[in-house]
Amino acid sequence: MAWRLSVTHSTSFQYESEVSASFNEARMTPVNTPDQFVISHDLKVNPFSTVFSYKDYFGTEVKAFDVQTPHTYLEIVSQSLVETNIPALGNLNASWDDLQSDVLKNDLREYLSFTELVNPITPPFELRLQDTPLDAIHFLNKAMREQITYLPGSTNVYSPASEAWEKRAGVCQDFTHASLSILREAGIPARYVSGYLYNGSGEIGEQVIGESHSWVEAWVGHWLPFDPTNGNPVAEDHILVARGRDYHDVSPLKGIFSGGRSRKIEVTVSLTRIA
Amino acid sequence: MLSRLAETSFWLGRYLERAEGMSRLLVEFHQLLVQDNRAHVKRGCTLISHGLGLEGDPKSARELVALAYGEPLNPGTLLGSIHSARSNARLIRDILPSDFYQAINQLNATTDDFSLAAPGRSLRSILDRLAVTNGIFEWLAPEDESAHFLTVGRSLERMDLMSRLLALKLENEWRDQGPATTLRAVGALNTYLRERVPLTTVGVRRFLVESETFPRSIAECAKRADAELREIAVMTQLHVDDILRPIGMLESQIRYLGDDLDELERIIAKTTPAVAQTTDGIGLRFFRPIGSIVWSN
Amino acid sequence: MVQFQAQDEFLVDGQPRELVTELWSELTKIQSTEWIMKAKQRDLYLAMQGITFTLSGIERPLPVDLIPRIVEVAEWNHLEKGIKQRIKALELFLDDVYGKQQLFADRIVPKSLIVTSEHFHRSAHGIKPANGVRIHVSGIDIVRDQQGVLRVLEDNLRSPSGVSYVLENRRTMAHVVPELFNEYSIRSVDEYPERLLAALVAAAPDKKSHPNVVVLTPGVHNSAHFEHAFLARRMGVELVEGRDLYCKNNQIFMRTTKGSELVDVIYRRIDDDFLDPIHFKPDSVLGIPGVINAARSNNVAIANGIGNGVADDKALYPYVPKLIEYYLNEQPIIPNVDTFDLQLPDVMAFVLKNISDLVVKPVAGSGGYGITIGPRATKGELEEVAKEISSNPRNWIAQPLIALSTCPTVVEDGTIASRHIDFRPFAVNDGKEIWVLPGGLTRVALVAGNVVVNSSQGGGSKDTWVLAESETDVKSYPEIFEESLIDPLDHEVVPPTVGPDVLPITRMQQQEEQQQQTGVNNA
Repeated sequence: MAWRLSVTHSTSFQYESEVSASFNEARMTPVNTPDQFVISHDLKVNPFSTVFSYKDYFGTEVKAFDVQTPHTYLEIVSQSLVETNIPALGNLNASWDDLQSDVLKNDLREYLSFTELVNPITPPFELRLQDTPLDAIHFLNKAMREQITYLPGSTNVYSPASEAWEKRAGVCQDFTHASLSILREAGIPARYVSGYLYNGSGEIGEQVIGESHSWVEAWVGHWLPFDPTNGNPVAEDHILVARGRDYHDVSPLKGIFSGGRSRKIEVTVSLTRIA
Repeated sequence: MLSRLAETSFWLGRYLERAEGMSRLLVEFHQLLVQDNRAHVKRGCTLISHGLGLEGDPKSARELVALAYGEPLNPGTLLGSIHSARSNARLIRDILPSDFYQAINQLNATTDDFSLAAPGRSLRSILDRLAVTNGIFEWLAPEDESAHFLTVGRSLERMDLMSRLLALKLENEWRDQGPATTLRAVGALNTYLRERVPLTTVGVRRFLVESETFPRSIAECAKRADAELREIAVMTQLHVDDILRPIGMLESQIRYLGDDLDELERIIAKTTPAVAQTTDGIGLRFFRPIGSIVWSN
Repeated sequence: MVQFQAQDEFLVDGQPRELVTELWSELTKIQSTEWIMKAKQRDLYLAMQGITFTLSGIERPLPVDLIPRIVEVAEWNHLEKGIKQRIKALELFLDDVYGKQQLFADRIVPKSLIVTSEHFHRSAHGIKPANGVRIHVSGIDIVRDQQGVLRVLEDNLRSPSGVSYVLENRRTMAHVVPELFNEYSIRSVDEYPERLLAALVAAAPDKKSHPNVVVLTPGVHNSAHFEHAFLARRMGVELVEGRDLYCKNNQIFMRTTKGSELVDVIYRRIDDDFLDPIHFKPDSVLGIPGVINAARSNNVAIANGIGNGVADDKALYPYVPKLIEYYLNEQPIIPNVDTFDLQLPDVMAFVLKNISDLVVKPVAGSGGYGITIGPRATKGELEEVAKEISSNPRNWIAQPLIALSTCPTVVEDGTIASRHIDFRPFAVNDGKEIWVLPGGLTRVALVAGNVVVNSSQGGGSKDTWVLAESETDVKSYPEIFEESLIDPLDHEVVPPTVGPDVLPITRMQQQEEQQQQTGVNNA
């Protein structure tokens, strides 16, 4: 039975001195997939700005806007109403040999290469010793929480996998980057998924304060989503927004501004199950 | 035209004029201070250096020249204004008459030979190069926006320098040589003498403010700046009345000056702020400042 | 090692080819002292015109050799056809790569090759230029091998430079050695700026009849600033820097004294990486934040297109003949230089074994930097390169050494000696037609035996004469006395009167004639 979730994602910036112009791109629009249907989405910017939309290379809906009147604050409120289902999984029985195929390695090259953020790390286990790639995923999904402690503040948005790995601490972004690094090293194509996680009781109408979240999709015959941060299956409580090679490709908000000085950022995400 | 090019032209005009004005002043101040060995030389040096907005405490004619000659990166000094003129010219060389650009380069090259051992001669050769540069401009500059902006800049700079010179009150400090020095420092001695007015402090100060025969008087420069900016207004179809208000006020106050000597001093004191206000107004209207663009994530 | 002899463009066994008989007899009449004098005249002329190139921070004239290179009619027609074909295919390739990516499904080029290219810009995905053109200007480098076959050495599809020298070289030649022109009808190179402007106008969104076109330069310190200023001036458009432009509501405006003016087409001469700090280097102050999304919404056209570098990546180069077959269903007219794809293990092994006979080039390099020429390298250098390429095969290609053809050239002591040359013709695509400038930049290695021919490597250039089909063809007779359309730009040197020319008198006479003609027409 599908869930209907409402998400409000607000971001506000406070600048110490006046900003004369800023240019931004938001990737906050949930995407339509066979398992997820976006009923409505709206992005508001204050000070008022016209918003231009386009679909990027990875298929993510991007909202671009600029603010050209001098301002000391910037608020972005993204509101979505989404219907989610438990993802229907395809056949996941690829063998290690299947993953060695030239065609696959060529077509999924972007999800097999290291990046600035998904850089090599050395786990104390060898994924390839698992019987099948699917077993490897199950193993990894469990192992990550034994290796890394969830500790907000231990890393920042620019931290590569190796940093969190050394500290053995991080947030969902680090769990995701580290998992991607280990998977790609083992030859399993894997991509970064960003979105929202509903972590309430499931009671209809109850508003829950959440956060933007990230998890992994690995290719083991088909794409298989899993959530190494909490080890739970990806289900109706996950809302998918963007996919990419790493955080850089999906960052919810990126932009540049001129004239201002250091800032304070506040981000709140609230989710409500409507049905 | 592009705002950046207009702004660069405007400042090229100001720096060229500043270089010329400062060279002339320094030649004469140096003369005055070298000839005067009395105790108030030091006071004179302090007065002059403050009047030119220089930071330092020169104690002799030589030290004053050294300070005012200055350094390449300080556009408030002679060397700095020449360098700034040259870098501005380089940025817009595509739109300048080529001979003019060449002359500015040669002017800049002249500074290599500057010697504090012979400041008079060195300054004179800078003045010679400036004369050539300005002559080429007068002769070759097309009637375009760039040339108008350059001339506006030049006229405003002249007003500014003139009021700074008058604020020094050399005529009071050196009653014997002061009036003549002031006139010489702006190249006005002959013109003044031909008017057959006695060489008095008041006479000189009035002359340099209101003369209609001397092209560097504050009144004439204000008129020129006014006219040139109105040309630009026609070319760009923009209004300039508000920008010209501070200068226009000065012009009318000079016209109705009468014998009120306090009013004369008030006009002199108001000139520098009026020039600054007009410069800001021109910048906002035509140069569309964007501030320093530093983008950060 | 294979022995080979470079072909000479002029001479066979010391005798002039038929094509150059007249020219050769003129050339051999000139004594070495005269050549030295003419070289001086040329240097003064170049300095006076401010025709410069910045090499290692020093601005200096790009020396043009006083002996032209001649391209005969049939050969030119062949080149022209081949270049058009190549650009057509590369346009389709770029459209595909930044659009549907059908070529990956059809297994024409490995996807991994493209997605690992540093010039493949994902932010260019989905940008669809209004008239479909991405390669507005191209410079395809051509060499002649020891068999006499013309081959494409590399493609330049980003901001190929040098065309200003093509136009200026012709004027310089006509000024310094007018006698050489006597027996030849040469096609004019002078319409280039008009053609370029027409192509830029055609690229404008909304099919505006008078779009606002600008040339975007990184500034006066850039090595090609002379060319940027030259093109802007000759097209009669504004030469702007990034700070002159700004983006608002996805539109690009130019700050002028009159106010803000909408800009429709940007002929940019700055690299992709600096174009938009939102998508590329965030600290770039040379570009315009927002310009990529403005292009994406077709409010402004950017020429050349963003991400074109994926098509002139040297690693793609071996696949270009295949692309021509795939997109056009034609055989390539101009062949490539054989290239070893180091990503194939067998090929890599072969290359490592024979590295002392091969040329190894970095795929990202340009301007001749980082090239290792096997027979000329020391053992140590070769070992170094072998290590580099085996650890990073994607970043290198290897090619057999080609003996670039030579052409007689006036050298420093005033004698004529043979020097290696290459050739960069320029093509302009307006969306309806690809026009190839009849001429181009022939670059010459001024050091004896040097086979890397590049202006960044201290090379010179030659005026390139493409011969006219027949006497009735459009031809340019050197207008020696016509005043230069270009105002001199740089004047570090004061030019004394040059040579024995009687310039002023002749010019005044011309003007009188023109006035008379006007008078007759009016009567």
